[in-house]
Amino acid sequence: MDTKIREYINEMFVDAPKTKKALEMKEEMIANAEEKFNDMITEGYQEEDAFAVVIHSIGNVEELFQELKKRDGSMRLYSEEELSLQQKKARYTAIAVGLYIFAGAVFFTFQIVAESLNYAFDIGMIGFVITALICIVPTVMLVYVSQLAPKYRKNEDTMVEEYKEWKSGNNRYKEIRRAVSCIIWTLAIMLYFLVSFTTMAWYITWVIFLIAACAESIVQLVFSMKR
Amino acid sequence: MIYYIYKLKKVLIEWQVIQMSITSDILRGHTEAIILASLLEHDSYGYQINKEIMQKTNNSYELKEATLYSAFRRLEQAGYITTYWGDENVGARRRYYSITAKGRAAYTTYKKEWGEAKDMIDKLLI
Repeated sequence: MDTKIREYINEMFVDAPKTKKALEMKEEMIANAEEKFNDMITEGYQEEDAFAVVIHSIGNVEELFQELKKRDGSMRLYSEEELSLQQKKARYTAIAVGLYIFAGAVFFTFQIVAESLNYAFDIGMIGFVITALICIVPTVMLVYVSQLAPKYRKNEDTMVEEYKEWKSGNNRYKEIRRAVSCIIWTLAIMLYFLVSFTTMAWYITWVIFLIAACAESIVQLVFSMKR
Repeated sequence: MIYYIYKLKKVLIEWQVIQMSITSDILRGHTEAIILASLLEHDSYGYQINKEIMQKTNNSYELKEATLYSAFRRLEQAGYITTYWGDENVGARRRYYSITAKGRAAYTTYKKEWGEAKDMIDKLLI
């Protein structure tokens, strides 16, 4: 029966904030409840009755949780998931940066090769295209990382905290939008040079930028519809 | 047979509790002073404090745990009590409280004010 009390109180604290103070209070409650229970058993009460009385005497802990939620000096204990999330983010960001540097190296390599050799087709341009393609991977990673960010969890149930929560959710949308715009314009420039150099029709290829602007508007529409 | 005696005991306690509804409201307002009083002589922990209160009032008043814990926190924040963990080798760890000098001063003031309030009400209620 001893573990039953501990289990019951653990259950009660499931919605409580995960701070040091809350854990200490839980520990204290369990100790007091178990001792009360044992005393009642010694007095001769039945196990079920003693358990019921002990639970009843704890009373309403909701207000206690309200008090615990108020900001105090003790650090927030991060759950295991949050920690591994941070590691994941760091890992992906590092890999992304590495890939960008790699893409730069590839680009310059192709430029050097283009200078030294002299093939029929434009090696330098090919290098540029390959670089841009490589850049897609780290960009996607960074967008993914920004999505992984845990939402700002409110510390209290006040208007200020709700606003901050809304704002952080809003920020993520803005980040995604910016990333997508970046991709669109990089692609546009790349396509412009590609097509222009192959067709040499510079007098018309600038239309690509108009198309890019159009794509941007479409993206904006999609995002505002999602909201 | 023993089962019926316990049932009777429970019914009697419930009846007493109903009688005490006004009194318990008043007492709840003085929870902090009551806790400080029980810490004057020696350090103590949650359940022991509650047990002493029950003994002193002949089992007619018992603090709800939630009331007790919020009072502990308020007293701690005000600097009237300090807390430390005991080192039990059997069972869960106990959280002990001890009264500070500031707490003793607060208690003395409180007792004086309560005495004055008591006199005034006695005079007003004929």
